[in-house]
Amino acid sequence: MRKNRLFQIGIIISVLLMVSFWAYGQDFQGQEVRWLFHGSHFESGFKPWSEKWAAEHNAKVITTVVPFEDLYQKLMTELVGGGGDYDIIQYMYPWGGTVAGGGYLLPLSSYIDVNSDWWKDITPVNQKAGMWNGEIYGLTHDGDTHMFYFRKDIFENEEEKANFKAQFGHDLRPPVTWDEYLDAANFFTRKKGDKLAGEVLTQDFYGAAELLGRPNVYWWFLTRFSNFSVPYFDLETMEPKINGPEGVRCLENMISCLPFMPPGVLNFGWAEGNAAFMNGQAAMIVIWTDTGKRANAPELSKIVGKVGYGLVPGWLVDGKLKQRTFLSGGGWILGVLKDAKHKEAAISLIKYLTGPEVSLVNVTDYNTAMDPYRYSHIKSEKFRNLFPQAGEFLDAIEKNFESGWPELALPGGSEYMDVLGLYVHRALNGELKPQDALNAVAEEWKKITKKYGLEEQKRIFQEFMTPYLPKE
Amino acid sequence: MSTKLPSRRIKNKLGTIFGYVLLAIVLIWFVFPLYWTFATSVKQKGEFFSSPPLLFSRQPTLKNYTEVFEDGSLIYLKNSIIAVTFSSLSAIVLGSLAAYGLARIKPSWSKKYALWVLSLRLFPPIAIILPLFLMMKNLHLIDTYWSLIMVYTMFNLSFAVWILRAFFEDIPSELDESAFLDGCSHLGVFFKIIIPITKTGILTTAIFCSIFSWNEFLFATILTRSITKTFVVHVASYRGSQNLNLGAISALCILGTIPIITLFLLTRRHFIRGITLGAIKD
Amino acid sequence: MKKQYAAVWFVLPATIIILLLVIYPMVYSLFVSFHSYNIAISQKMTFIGIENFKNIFLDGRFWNSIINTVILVVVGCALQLTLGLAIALLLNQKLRSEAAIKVLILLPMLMAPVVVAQMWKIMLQPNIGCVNYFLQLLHVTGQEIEWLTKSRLAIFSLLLVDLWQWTPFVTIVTLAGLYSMPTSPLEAARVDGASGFQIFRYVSLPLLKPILIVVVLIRSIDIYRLLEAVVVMTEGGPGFSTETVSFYVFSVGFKYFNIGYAAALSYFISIILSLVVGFFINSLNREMRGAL
Repeated sequence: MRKNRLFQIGIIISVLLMVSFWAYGQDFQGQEVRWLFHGSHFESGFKPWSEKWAAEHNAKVITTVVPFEDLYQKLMTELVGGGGDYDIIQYMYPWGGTVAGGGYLLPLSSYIDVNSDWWKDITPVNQKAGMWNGEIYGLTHDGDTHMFYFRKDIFENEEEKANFKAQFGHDLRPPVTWDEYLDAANFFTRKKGDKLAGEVLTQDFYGAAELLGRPNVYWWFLTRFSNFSVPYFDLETMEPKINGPEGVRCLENMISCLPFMPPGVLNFGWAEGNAAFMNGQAAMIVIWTDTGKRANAPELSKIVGKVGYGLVPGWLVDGKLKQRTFLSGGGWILGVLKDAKHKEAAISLIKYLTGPEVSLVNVTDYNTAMDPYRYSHIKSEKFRNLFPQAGEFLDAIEKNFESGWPELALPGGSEYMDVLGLYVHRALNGELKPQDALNAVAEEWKKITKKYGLEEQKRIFQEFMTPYLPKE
Repeated sequence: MSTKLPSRRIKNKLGTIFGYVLLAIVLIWFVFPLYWTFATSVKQKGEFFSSPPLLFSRQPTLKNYTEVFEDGSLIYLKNSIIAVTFSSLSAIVLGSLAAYGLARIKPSWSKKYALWVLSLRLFPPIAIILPLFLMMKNLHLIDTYWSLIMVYTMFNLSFAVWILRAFFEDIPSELDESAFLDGCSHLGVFFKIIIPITKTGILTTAIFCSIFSWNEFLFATILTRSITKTFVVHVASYRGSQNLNLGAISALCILGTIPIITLFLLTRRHFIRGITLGAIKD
Repeated sequence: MKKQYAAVWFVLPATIIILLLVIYPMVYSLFVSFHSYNIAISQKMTFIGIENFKNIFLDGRFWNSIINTVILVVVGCALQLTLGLAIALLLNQKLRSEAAIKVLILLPMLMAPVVVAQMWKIMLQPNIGCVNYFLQLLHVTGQEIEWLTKSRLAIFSLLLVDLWQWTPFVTIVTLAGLYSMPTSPLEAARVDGASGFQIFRYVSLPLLKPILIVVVLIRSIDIYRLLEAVVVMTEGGPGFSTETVSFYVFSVGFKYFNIGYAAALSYFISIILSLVVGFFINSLNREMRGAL
């Protein structure tokens, strides 16, 4: 009898052990998960965690990190020959139409419980970022929306305020419209040796910094354009609406602002834009939300405690303010390739990385460029105490997620945006007049739409755009 | 044998001084960028953006070098060395065999073949990169040493055949004729006579091939990913969010240049002959 | 006959590699160039005849890249040739530590174009780069010059970088030409009382001409495929002002994945290049006959 009891206990213990082991993690003994993503500013967030995951699961993670400019190329060349070399890829929301719509990604619905708190914790716009045609193909690891930052210390300086009023006839305040932004940029652009807020400048100072390098520039056009809530195309005819008066107004504003930005701004990418603002060389910047935590980190920033936040400026139309933040980039997403060699392991890894615990550490770590995208990030006490006014900042992000204007996500999404960026850049460089540049964009967009099939694109576009249209 | 030009004696000291001043300007122009890169690579983090720029760090540091080594640079250096060594070796082996066939056996189509091989070098690499990529992808050779070694061998071959042919043609034909009389085969002549005589020429060609492969970017960026990524691709990947990491970039530039300069210094004299041979010999 | 047969065996291994890695891709490319094949849309290939080649003539961005490339080739070659020749003449006299000087001058051309581009990108940076600082120090300008982001300047910066890297090549080759020059015509000219410049203009230069043509040929081909500096320094910007042919074809192939069109473009630019090279070789032949 005793022996039997012991045997029973033995079985129970081993079952318990097995269960706990199961709960601890599946064993992916010796599996190599290959993973493509961009940017050292993501690597710093991914690396320690993927190593930890690998150790827990007896697996190995091999990463390929490329510059942003090369990611789309590396990704697409992988997909061409049928894949098989990577398990996990990183993509941006607008590429979803090509990557997920092209049937290259593994549908994840059967691996994710959409009724779980885990999934519901993700803000809807960031759930949608990884979805295509109602199916989940990827998990957001970096939520994206633009935010406006300014130098609180100089905007609140009494002397500057008085001078500004004398010069422009209205009060100095953190710009609410792009016209005010232009005035403020103009006003704050100073030479070395001039005085700024009572202090003599040791280097030139500029009104604003934007990321106007060729791959990025279209975002800074669209961050102006989104305020109008003008859909990218006519919903019935698919005629591009980018070259309407609103577009021209945006581009003209961009060109007017150009002299008040640092030299070389037409080559600025993420690093340069952030550096210009955080080194105290520029009074204002519109950029993604991670700059908030970074600008308040003493290791990275010379303007700790001097940063003010606000919504991205809008436009006055017939005396009424039109303001709608651009969900620039739409988020970075991790997906698993359909031809992945180690699907289970890959899914386990991306769920681990985008889960509430790991992602909270990443979005609050100023060494990464990852932005909040879960309700638990936005509500997190840790985040709300990370820097002054972080609470308001997070509330603004949440509001943007609810009412922001989306980046265009159609098949060929990156081609549309590339063309837009090219011609905006040509206009900024003085090669083309704003109207001509945008007309050229419209022409090219028509060609791209035709290439991908007008009717099909129209159907997808209507479905995509309708939820965002203003309800009147 | 070398008549200097202008050969009349330099009339006055003024002229000489002027010449040396010009020479100094020329040297500064060519050497300064290298110096600046080195100086940047030993600067402290805070010194990169100081205005005015510092000519040399106040507290030189090797931190930038340790940083790029921690970032896997050693692996990429190793990858480059492997790809370079094996592709140069195979280019030399195959190329010297072909060059022997062309220069010593002298078939009627010798010159035509050599020109054909050289003309392949004229085609923009961009013209064949796509099909090559698809081919390597189907053979599952992407991100392996094989793809790089094969492509570099091919590119170096056209050059190696052309140059080695010129070297081999310089050898008097009596030498191999007497060897043939002694009962040597073609291979025997090739190994016992031609190779020993043209050692330096072969070495020079090998160095040229190595430098080409070391510096190549287009194929390396398309055919590799993370495992066999070459050093130059790694240097190029310091763009975008790494644009302002000046210390790391310049350290990488210096690291990527040292091996080439070493190779070059080892074979300096033959090297200059090699360059001129490539251009002057028709 | 037997002799030639043996040569085949020696040439065979090299030929196989070349056939496999050059000829096969080229044939495949030719095949693809008659198809509509855009892998961003679908993996299907449809035959469309010469449509791709027709499109080339309507592609303004391509012709813009041709113009940029021609500017780079013509101005680049002219500058490099002039400077390279001048430096060769400067070095062609009894100098102390001549060997060391040559080594220093040779260094740039040994370096990887990617490395060179990175180095210059750092130096040309406004505000933090040293080039603007020195120009301000010498009172050439008081402004921060935007070397890489002003349209005419950006292409000039590419020229500058290429000039730095490849002038030494011209110098070294010309110098070798000067050394190997037959002495008698020079002596004769000197006896006739010609000045240094006259000797150079009427005796040395004609003798150097075949070498210079080869140098220009090699440099033109290399500049024609300029890619690395564009990728690292400007990404083709500002606007389209530094897009070279290679960069554009690379973008069509590896950014828009319009493989069929990229193949057609590659063939087209190869044909242009062969025409140019043919022209050079013709004139070289003429020169050689004249010289002999």
